[in-house]
Amino acid sequence: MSSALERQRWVAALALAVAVPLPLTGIVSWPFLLPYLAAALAVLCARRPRPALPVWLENLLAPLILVVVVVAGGMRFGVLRPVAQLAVLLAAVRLFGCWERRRTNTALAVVGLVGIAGIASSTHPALAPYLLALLALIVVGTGRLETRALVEEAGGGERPGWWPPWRLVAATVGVGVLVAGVVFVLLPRLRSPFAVSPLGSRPVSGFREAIALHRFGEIRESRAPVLRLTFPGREQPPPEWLRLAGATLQHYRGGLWAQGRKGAERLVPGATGAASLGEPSPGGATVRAEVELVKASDVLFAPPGAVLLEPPESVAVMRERLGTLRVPRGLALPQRYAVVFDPDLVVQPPPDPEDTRLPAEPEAIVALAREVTADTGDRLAAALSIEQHLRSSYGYSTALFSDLPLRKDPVKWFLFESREGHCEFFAASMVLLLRSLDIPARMQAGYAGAERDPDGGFVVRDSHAHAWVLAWVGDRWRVFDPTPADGRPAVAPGERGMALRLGWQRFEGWWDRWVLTFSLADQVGFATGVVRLVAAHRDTIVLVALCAALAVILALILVPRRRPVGAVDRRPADSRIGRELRLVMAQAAARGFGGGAAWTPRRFAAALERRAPEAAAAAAWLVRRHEACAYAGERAPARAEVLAARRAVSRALRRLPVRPAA
Amino acid sequence: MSGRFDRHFPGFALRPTRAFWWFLLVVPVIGVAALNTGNNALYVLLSISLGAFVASGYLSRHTLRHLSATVRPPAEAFCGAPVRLEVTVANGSRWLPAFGVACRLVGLPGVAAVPTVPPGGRVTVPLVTVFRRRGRHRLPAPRLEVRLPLPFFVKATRLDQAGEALVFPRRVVAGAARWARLSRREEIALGGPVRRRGEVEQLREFRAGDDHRDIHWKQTARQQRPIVMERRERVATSRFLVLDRELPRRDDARLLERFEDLVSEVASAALAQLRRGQPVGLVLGGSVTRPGTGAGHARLLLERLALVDPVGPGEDPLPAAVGAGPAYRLVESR
Repeated sequence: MSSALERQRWVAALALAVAVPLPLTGIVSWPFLLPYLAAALAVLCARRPRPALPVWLENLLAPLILVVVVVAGGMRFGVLRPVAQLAVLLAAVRLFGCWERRRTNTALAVVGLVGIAGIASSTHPALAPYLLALLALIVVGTGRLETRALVEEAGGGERPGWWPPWRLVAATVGVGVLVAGVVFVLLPRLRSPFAVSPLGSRPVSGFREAIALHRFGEIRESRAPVLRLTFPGREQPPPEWLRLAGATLQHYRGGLWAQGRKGAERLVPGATGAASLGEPSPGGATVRAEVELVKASDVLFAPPGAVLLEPPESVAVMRERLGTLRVPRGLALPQRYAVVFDPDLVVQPPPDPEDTRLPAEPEAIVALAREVTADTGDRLAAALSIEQHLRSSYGYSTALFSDLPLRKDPVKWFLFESREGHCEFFAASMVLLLRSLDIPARMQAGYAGAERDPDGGFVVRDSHAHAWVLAWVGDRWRVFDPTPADGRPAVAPGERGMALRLGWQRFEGWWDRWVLTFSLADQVGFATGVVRLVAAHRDTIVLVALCAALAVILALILVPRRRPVGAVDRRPADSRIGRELRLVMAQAAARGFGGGAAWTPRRFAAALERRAPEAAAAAAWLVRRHEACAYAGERAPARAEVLAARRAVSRALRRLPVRPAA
Repeated sequence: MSGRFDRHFPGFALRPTRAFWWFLLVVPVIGVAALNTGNNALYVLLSISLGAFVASGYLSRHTLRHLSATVRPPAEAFCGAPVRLEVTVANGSRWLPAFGVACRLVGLPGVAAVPTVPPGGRVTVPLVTVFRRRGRHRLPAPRLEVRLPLPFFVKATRLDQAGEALVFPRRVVAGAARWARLSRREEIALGGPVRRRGEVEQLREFRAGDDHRDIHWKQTARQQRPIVMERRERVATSRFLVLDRELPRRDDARLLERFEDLVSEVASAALAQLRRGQPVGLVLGGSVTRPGTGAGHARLLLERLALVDPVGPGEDPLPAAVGAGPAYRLVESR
């Protein structure tokens, strides 16, 4: 294989490698991706170097590519998407002829841009092994091409290069990752972290305590564990128990749901260590649930009917007006707490006027509500009718609602135009439909459903995040869930290999927490922690440092230095005496005799014997010792002897008259 | 610190490659993008890029630090002709193989690509080079270059060698050789020791300068005074190449260059004659090498010609016996 063909294949292989994240992240759609992949494959599989496209064709394609990118949306959804689209199309053109040295750099630059776009849009933890594999590929390819170029320069003709040893590749990747970890932690962060969604909108994953429907991006279904839940003594708890509220939202303004008026009180545990949240229904049975929170949150999740809370140890819990249980940010994980709840009860303050407030121009919503309920006077029947109507007449989708107009009310847009959405659209729509019938309603956000774990408990993940409705029916709050069945989280059985999956998901959670959302606050927290640690253990640290220093000094003194196997002494054997001899020979040359290619130590000694007999003995000794050291491997004489001889010769040379050069 | 560095990396040189300038261009762009957007995936990419840069620097430095090289001097080297040296590269690292190492000779053309040198192992590679000047040189210092695992820099170190190499004069295709044919008496008059070959012509009393091996011991014992044999050569005359070392001016570069040409012509003529099996003698200024044949004699002549230096007017005149005959000499053009 010629070197040009090999270079072409490595560039094409790199082009394919950097394209791996693109279809997974969706930053570039298939119509853009296919020409790129086709070009890369064609170049990779070619049996001879592919010539570059004609210049006229490249010039024709350039504006065409620009037009295609603009038509596909341009900068409408951010910068990353059009840049990625532009890069893949340009790369598809520039890959042809990439074996030519003048085109290799530009082809690599465009391919690199494709890679940056793909990586920048990745949120999956598989990015970590992917980057390591990519680095290894680059090291191998570079090693191969560089050694090939070297062999050619050395006159090896078209002989192939060598493959880099695996140890070198592994060491490069290993050291690179170690350094990268430190650099990642230390790099300054001035902006809040976010993960880019395919079209540049903010992705949504897990629980949110404020919902902005009109800024709703694509839901990214992270499977990171949020909490573990057990019901002591209950082997088969019903699915309804697996509904954990985080926040209750009452105010709706232009697509934004918020909790409304703030007001919080601190929960004070009683003698039993439990704080009361409400009174159980008369005659109702209560259930105890134990929760282990494993994802950072400033909210404790509890069933809607929670009446008692055993808060995490040494943690102050504030209860807000609508029942949100707030804890300080940045608690060490995991946090364990227990809740006693009444499955038939919803603990909420009674309705107020805010629970029936409608957005501006509610006529269409009122008309729809009346049409769905057929003007029934029974509030429960009306609520059930609306719930059923939404479940059966609307579709569930987590896709991005990119065509959601910014000036239009999202709920009206959902009800009358798109007719598909996710749980927050369904819940928000039902709340407004109920309110239009003067039925007080609130939206509640949290988690519903779970996955069984091998220990008999349940794992609740980000993907179980859900929103539902509380409606004041029959003088009490009741739970309604208008989301269709395919969008309602359920109880999933544990599967084989659960421990492995749990491990991976724990890693996903770690990745989410410590990579994707790593922020300035984390850096400050880390630095503060280190400072505190040092302050708290100053004496111990000083002692350990002293011991370590002592150990290093002792090791340096006691451990003999061994020459590595196979090493050759870099210093010439005649280093000292040879240096002195060269010095006096240079001095002689400066005074006009000697010098030149044929001027050897022996000739120097002979010449000196004729012109300065008093230094002849010293010069001859220097030459003899120099030759003995350099060629016979004898030990160098003592430094003092060498210096004395050299000084004698130098003195004699200084006494000689300077001879003209010609 | 500097001394320690010089000990580990004698003659260290660092040259950024094109990949480095690309890296320098791209990494700040990624950094600014990461800083501006807060996208941690970009931070990850930036960290990996910087990590790979540091790893490459550390590993190439480690490789270079543990490499050593020795040059084996050539059996014979002619100025201007390709000569094949053998360079042994040893890797003193205990765990990291040395990969993609280039070996050059300081001041000389040629490069050798060194294949992977395993930890603690050594590899010998041929290196074809050309010496530009005749004479005795220090062995050329090999310069080891490392640029992998990622080619951001070419790092090089120079490893001085002990020992010397003798470079013979350039071989040239010259015109007819200028032979000086000397009779035996003239040869004797040159002061060189008399050859002991040939029939004994007469006996005479020992004179200063006679070869002790020519003493006729029986007659010496009989006459109680030293008696030597005078022999008669079968060949009446010997063929000498005469090179006049004296230049009209010693500081004239053109004359020095022309003198080198003369030395090359003399060496080439001598080699051609010896290859035909005929004896050749050499007169370099005042010193004479008697005619001889064979590889050993050829080497002797070449060594003398390799080391000959020009001198100024009157510093080393030719013997009177050959002074007026054909010789290689430089004269001032008018």
